[in-house]
Amino acid sequence: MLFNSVTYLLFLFVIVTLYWTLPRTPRLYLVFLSSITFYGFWKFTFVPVMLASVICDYFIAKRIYSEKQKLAKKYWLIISLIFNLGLLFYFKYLIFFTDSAFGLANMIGLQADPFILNIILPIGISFYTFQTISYTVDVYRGFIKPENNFILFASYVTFFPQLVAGPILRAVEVIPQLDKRPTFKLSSFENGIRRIIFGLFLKVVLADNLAPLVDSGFSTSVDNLSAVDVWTLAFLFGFQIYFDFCAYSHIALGSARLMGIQFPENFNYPYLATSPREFWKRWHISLSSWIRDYLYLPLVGEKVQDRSVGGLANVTQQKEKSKNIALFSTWAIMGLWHGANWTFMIWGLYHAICIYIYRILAPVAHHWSKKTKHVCGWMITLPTMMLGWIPFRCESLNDTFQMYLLILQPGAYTWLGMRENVYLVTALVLLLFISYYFISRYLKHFVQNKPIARIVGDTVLYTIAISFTVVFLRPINQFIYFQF
Amino acid sequence: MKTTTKEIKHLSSLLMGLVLSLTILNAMFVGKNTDFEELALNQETVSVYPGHDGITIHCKGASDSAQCISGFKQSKLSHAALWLGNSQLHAVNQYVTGQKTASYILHGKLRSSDTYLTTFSQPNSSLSEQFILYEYLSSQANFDYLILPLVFDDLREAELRQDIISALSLIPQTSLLFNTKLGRALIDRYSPATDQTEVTQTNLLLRDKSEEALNHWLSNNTSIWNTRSEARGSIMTFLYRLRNTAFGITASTKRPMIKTRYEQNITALKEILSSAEQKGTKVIMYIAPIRNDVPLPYIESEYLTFKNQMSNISTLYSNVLYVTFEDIITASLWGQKDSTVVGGKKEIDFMHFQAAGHMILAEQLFSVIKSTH
Repeated sequence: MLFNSVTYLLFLFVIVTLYWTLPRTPRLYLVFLSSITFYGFWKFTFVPVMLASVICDYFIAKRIYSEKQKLAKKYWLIISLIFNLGLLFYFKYLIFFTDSAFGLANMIGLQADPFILNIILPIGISFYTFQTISYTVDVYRGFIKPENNFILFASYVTFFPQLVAGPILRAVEVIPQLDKRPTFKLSSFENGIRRIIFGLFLKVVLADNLAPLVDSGFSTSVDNLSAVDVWTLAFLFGFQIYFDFCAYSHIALGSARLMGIQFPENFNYPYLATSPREFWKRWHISLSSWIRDYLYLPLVGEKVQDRSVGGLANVTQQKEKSKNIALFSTWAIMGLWHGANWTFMIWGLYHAICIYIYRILAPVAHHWSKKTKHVCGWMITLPTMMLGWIPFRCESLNDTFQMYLLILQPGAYTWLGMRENVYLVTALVLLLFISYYFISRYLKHFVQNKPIARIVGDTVLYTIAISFTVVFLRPINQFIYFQF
Repeated sequence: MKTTTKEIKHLSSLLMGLVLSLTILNAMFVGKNTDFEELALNQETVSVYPGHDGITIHCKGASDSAQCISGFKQSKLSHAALWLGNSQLHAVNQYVTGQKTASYILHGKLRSSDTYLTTFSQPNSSLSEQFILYEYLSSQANFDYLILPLVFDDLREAELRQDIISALSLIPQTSLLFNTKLGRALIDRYSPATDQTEVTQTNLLLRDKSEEALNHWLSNNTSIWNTRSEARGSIMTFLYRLRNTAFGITASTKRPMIKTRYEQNITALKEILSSAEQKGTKVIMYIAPIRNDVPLPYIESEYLTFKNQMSNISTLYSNVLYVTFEDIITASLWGQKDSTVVGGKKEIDFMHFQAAGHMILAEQLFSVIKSTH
């Protein structure tokens, strides 16, 4: 089911109504069955794949907990990892690695005919797999006890607001909330609706209207693009994917809030970050923190102590070499997690390089004033992060490298290859994004003690958002992150 | 108690916002039915899609092409001619009931030469779109003549409208479209994806069926849902006018050529000419009339290069006759259009002329076609 559809809004209305009328146990069954129905609206045939992951980790986690010996616990953890990553590998990466192997064989002169695999990628597999892995690892680490109630555990993994595109939640964040009957709060309910409306506005009004410009630009032959076009497309796609994914997160958080369940924030104005490291503390926070806790820190050899803070933290007291190897390996995997294509690997490595350079250069600005650091940091970070979206959106490595080469050629800055509107829209979106941040901060302060002003302001915002959302609500484009 | 009051205040904003938005949408858009494709024509100009003896001879695109094609098939004439173009072919400035378009006049004249003319025109039709439309139409009928106007302004267009996208899936695999780089690129871009990701598995899913049913129900039972396309069109038109106002863009503002789009359209033109050559179709390619008593809305050097390039391309094909009609319509036969800026005055219409201009164009074309016999 798509969030940006009438079907979902009706579905949510029915489920939320039932949710608040049912006692604990039937309510849990409602959450679980509604999540399965939500998923089944895409394809019911893939529900068993998801349930297999749920069942596997439910039993393995219990087994890990009951085992006395460390080695036995580790074996069970490995079985869980093999199962979950095996599923992910089969559905997401088999075609990619097979094609790459045949491509390599042909490149070195071995004549090999690739066989055609027809594997459909189950929607949301990357997300629920990571979620079940985190659960089992947390039990292994002794952070949490395994959940005995299967329906409660299954509801945590399959909970429909976060099922197909996150946020990637830890068991400790959700299971206790699902377990207890939350108290109905009107403010929480209003907040949920507010976030859903805001999310829908971001998706159907902004992201979906930027999409044709982005699609048109990236489907143009690179030979016909100028350097200015490459920059413009990088910024434009950067905003499209931000609005799109941030919209999904808002609707997910809002939907959960309607049921009295609070998810951690997944975005925090990432394009205002003043360093690559800060960017990843503000963008897709649940994934960054997952990668840090379950991949980066173990690779560095550092013990995981906190959780869900977000960002690929700069760990301390470690050898530079192992830190750098961990950094690049983590980012390569992070890239491949997003998609089975070498372009995503390049995207990951691009960010690894950015963070690596930042680590080296950061001490240079140590004596600068805070304001100077922020302004300079933002002015460097924003275009750097935007350029990072090029491999993410390009169809091929060839296009990616050609686009990067273009921006290094002074002669390629002398002409424009796209319609004037594209540049205008990009500039306008950038301006509006920055203005929105500062104006909303100012207004929040301004209306703090002025209830009438607040009601008027909120009413105006709701009127604009609802009007535009009603007009533009069409499930013409699914969320970009659904493909991961 | 204090908290409850605060919560109710928040909720009241939401409810007021909901009521206000629905009231505004209802007041602004319900009952309106604007044809946004034809909006650029404004009140000065009228679209006319003529028929002959009750049979449609001038169609809007692929979606209504069956009428035009069946008209030709039912006629007992030996030859067929196809005229593709933009709104210049169907729009009449200062229209008076009963006046005829060039397509109607030429159709009548060609009948006497045992030739049946069918015309297809769409606003701002690019050569890329015409390439697809030509491949689609020529898969259904054999044409002896293809008349192709060349409008410099339309080479700034590169997107395909829904009508043309729909035609893509109906074109046989044997078409040249599938064997050219441009054709494949357009098919790849506009056809439903065919790779293995779940993105492609959206056809006829339960979610699509339920969405269709709910939208159908909402359209039938609420006035607002039905007017959403009207609202979308109006918002986009307002933004377009706002942009023009902010940047002082009028119909007379010089539009620079957009390299990528221009080259895509030139490639499309070459593909059309190659395809016609393979099919044994004679092509009459003409530079479209433009109002030239005032400075052109183009950069002169670019326009000159365009004309030279068209002339050069025509020499590469044995089946192409190139003529230029840019000066055939005198200034008095052109008109004005509504302002493209908010609260502005009427502007010069560089594209659409009066009925007398249609007569001139038809006569000029007729004499060119006659000369090819």
